[in-house]
Amino acid sequence: MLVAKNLWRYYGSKVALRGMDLEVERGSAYGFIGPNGAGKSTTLRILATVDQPEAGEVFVDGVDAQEHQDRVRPWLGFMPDPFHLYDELTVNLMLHMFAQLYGIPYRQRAARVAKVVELARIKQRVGQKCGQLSKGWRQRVLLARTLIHDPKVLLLDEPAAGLDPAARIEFREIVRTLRDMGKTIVVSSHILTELADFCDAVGIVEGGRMVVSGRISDVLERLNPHDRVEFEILGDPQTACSLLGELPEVDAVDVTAAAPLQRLSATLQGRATPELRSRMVATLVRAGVEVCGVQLKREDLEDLFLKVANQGSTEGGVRVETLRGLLKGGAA
Amino acid sequence: MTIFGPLCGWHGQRAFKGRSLVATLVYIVLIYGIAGIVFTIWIAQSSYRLRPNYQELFTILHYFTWGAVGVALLVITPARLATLVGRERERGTLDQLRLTGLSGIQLTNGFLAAVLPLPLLAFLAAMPLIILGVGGEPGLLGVLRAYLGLALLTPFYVLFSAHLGLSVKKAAAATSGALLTVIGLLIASGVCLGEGHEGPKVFALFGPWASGLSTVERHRTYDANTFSVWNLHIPGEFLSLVVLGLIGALFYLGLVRRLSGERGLLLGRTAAFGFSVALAVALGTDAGSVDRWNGGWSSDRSLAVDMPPEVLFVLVLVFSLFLALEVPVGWRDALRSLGASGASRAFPMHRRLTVRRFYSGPVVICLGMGLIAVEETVLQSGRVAASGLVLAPLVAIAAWVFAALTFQTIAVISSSKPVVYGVGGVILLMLWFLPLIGAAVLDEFGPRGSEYFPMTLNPFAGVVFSLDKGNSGGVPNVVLALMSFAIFAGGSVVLGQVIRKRLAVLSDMAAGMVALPADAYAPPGSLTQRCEKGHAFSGVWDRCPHCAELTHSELGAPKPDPA
Repeated sequence: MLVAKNLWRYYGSKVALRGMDLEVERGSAYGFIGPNGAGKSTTLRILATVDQPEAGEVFVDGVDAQEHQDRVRPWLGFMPDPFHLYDELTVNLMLHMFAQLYGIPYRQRAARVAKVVELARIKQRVGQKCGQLSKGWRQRVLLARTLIHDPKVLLLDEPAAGLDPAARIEFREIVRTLRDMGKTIVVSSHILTELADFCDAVGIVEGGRMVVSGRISDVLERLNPHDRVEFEILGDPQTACSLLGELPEVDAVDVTAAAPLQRLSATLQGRATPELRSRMVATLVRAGVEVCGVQLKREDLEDLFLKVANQGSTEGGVRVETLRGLLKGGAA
Repeated sequence: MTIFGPLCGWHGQRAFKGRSLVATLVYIVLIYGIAGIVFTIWIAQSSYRLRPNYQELFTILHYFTWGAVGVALLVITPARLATLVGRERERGTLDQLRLTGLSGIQLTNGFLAAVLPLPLLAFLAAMPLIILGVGGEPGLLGVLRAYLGLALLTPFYVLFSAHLGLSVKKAAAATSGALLTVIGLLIASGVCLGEGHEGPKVFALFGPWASGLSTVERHRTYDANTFSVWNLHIPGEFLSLVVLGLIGALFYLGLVRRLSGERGLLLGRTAAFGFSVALAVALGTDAGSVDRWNGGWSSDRSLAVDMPPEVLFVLVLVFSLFLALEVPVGWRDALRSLGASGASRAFPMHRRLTVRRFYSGPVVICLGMGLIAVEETVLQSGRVAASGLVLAPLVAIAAWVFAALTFQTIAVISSSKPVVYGVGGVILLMLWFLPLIGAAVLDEFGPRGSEYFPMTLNPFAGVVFSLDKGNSGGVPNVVLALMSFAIFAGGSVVLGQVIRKRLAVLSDMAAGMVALPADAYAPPGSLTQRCEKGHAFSGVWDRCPHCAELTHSELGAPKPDPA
């Protein structure tokens, strides 16, 4: 439904996007994750056709978005961040204004406004001026405005930014409803848990480039192909290390904590199946090692993302390469 | 596609609601209130007369109403539009409007529809007072010319303010900028029209005073707003129509392009070019012969530029030099355009580094100087050297190309616009004006006549030398002008070679870039290595970072623990 190829965007001497690629399937919810300054908003603005890349192409439903903006724009609903409303207008009036601007016939406007008011759950606020609303309500009003022309694709840039937990949950519910209605949704956020809930696929961006993209399970598999098993033992860790190291499935063994309770971390070549874990414990016990505990350690997407986002220098290029290295290492 | 669109309809409806309408009604009440007070005072003063002179009252009412409508059209409307456009841009709602599918022309007309209905309403409401003005001293022709002047100026003021609104970050800055510009233009145009000024009276075109006062005291100042071209005396509104109409049309086109989301400088290349052409036309329509026609006091208020030809030639060069700022293409765009040559999507022509970019300055110089030259030949024969009429444009074109190439040379090296314009400007200023200091020193201490040679490095001096028939320090001025031409032409050739060499490097880089001709792994300046597949990459990499299989150390990632 939505394809971006090799997008490049400069702001003066700063490179915001360095060959960004993106592919979103029809009717799916796509999470666009990255730290601040990674290029999420720039990508969304280009996808929404309000910004132009220096190079690269964007296709919406197979139509070149830069070449045929007039054709593509009615299909897109863009919720920018930061955003502004017409504070001097009431919610109802602003929705009617955009209905008119989108060319919705006069007779259908009231019904269309009523529909989006219901979808965004803002019925009790339609008579108020936009300038009098709280952040959460303004966010919903913006969503209603975004939906007014019934777009096929929704581009939501940090839609839950600045909302309290209750408002976040409610907003998530609304987005989930929209996904169930068959809309293709791209949501950007730097908070992974916000997206993991309702996204079918995710893309991690860093330094203006897509680092990894795909279904969540595939991404997890790609990022974290090696399980680790942690053992808590009593006594000399060296024996346990050598015993575990002799197993063909084990890649490396580290001692991660010292006496009195020794902690060993065994990095496997693949997944830690229950049979393998059982065999590892049996090997240690048969050799007289006192095993106090066993724990499977599998990093989730957020752990990996935060690890990458927080390390390295502030120069985008270095961090990207670090993450690329991590991915290559994982795949090797 | 309709050129008006739904935004026009929306703003049109909203214009007659809310505070704006109240303000307009107050404005109309004020006009009639003040008119009533004027009438009362006039009646009281003239009560002792047997036959009141109504013409006096109508004259007062005409000027008052004209002033009030002028304030609405030339001050309030531009400020409102600058605020509106600036606010839309500041809060990002302009993007939301673009997303609705409205074209640039629909957005432009929509914004105009937001600010124009109320001044037009005020104008219509003031119509009875305007009609009364016909009975005053200016008469029907005076009233028509006065309001025609306002009508011609309004698009210029309003559209300029809209550009201003798009060019500054804060709406408040746009409003104050628009107000300051408008007031500055009003004052400057009034000053230029004043009696006894030998300055560039043509700038009176940018204010309403000339047309407003055109028929005051007709017996003496019938030509107050008259200009003459080759002894033809034409009402000033015709010149306004050409100059302001051209500028207004190009401002409109520039605004359409910018509102549709295209990037550009303050006015865009098209509008900047049009502005320069209009100024060249205005400067070129110098008659310098008004004195012979009507004589006396009236000629002082003529719009004709009464300046020596050398000054006019130099002014054309000065105005054309602003176009040199629009020429440079950054190395990134140059690189991308080189890399995109074989791509399915052609790189936008207006961002390519082509010879066409260097046409605008010579065109403006030829037009402006050509008009002056024709007039000098036809009407003022003998004032300047005939050879100079050819040589001066050549020197000016060579200097203009040199200036444009200076900016372009820096642009293919540095990616920073402030550096391009700052360093380029400083270099040109030093090259052109430091020799004048040298000339002063040589004048004091050097051999006789040597002081003129450093002056040939200054293009303005070169133009003046071209036009002067005499000698300078024993050397014919034509020779000095030719030296000036040779210096700038030679300098341009050298700069052209520098750019060509740099383009060759960029072209080589573009050919080797597989991802895209951009700094995939380092800026092009540092791409010193090339892999077997032809990828260009920086020296910091041991192996090509574009190729897929890379080890941890090569990518700078933490090495896996050997344990």
